Amino acid sequence: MPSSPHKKDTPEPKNTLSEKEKIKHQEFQNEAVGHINALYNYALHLTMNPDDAHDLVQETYLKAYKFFDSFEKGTNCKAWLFKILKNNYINKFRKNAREPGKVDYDLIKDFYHSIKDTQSDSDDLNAGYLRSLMHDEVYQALNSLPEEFKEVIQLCDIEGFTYEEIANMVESPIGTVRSRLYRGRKLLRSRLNEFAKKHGYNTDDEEAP
Amino acid sequence: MEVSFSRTRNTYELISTMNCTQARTLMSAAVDGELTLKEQEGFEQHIAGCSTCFSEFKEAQKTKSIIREKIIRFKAPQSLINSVLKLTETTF
Ligand SMILES: [Zn+2]
Repeated sequence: MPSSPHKKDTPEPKNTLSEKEKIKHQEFQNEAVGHINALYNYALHLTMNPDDAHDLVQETYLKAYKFFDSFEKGTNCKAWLFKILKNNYINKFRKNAREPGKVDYDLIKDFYHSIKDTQSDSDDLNAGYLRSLMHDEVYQALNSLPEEFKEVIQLCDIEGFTYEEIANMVESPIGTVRSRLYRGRKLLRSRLNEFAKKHGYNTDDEEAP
Repeated sequence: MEVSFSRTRNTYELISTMNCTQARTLMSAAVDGELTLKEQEGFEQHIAGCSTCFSEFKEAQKTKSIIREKIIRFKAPQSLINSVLKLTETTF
């Protein structure tokens, strides 16, 4: 290899590299870590389990950091992170469903126990809230929907993504997103009405006879 | 679609022929503010004259607002935040 005249010493490129890494690190913290609450919520909805949600979010950030260079600046970082999380969830879920024996549950348990020991307060609090959420009727109604409907309602109504972003996340055309939202909300409405009737409420969408 | 008359001179004529099936296709996008200006006009015209689609639209709006109000949002546990911060500090 012919040596280039302007590259006299080796530490210089090393320094620029680490400087680059520093900038990347800073950008990542500014852009990505701020969405951690939204990601955790989404993971909770998907997994229905605080430990799994914790795990999923952690893996998502690890992957996101590795591939942060491929993130298009100026686009929605939250949408990008959600997509990574969703893909991660699908891969994990499929893997576990296929080879349940190969998952090292003890290792996972130990890992979470070590976290819980130091953060028992906040973790207990979260589990408690989750339990009460499970009894929440709106949450129940939402969860009773078929996955394809539940998903678009979550992404649209809870997370506030645009149709274009949702279409990209669920890998379907915008027209499909539209019709899933339409049918999902209709179904959700009827489930909510069932709860209301159980409480003796007249469902308010019906005008006087 | 019965909008394909060759005589249509402007969008209003085209839009005014929107039927219930077409309105339902646009229903969710109307709730979420995702309609184009043209679609919005046509949709509004339709529900102004169709009580079935009007009440369906109102119901869909209500359903969305119930979800937004009633679904509890959690904060990520501090342990998770810490481990994510640590993760991105040590991976390079
Ligand atoms: Zn109609």
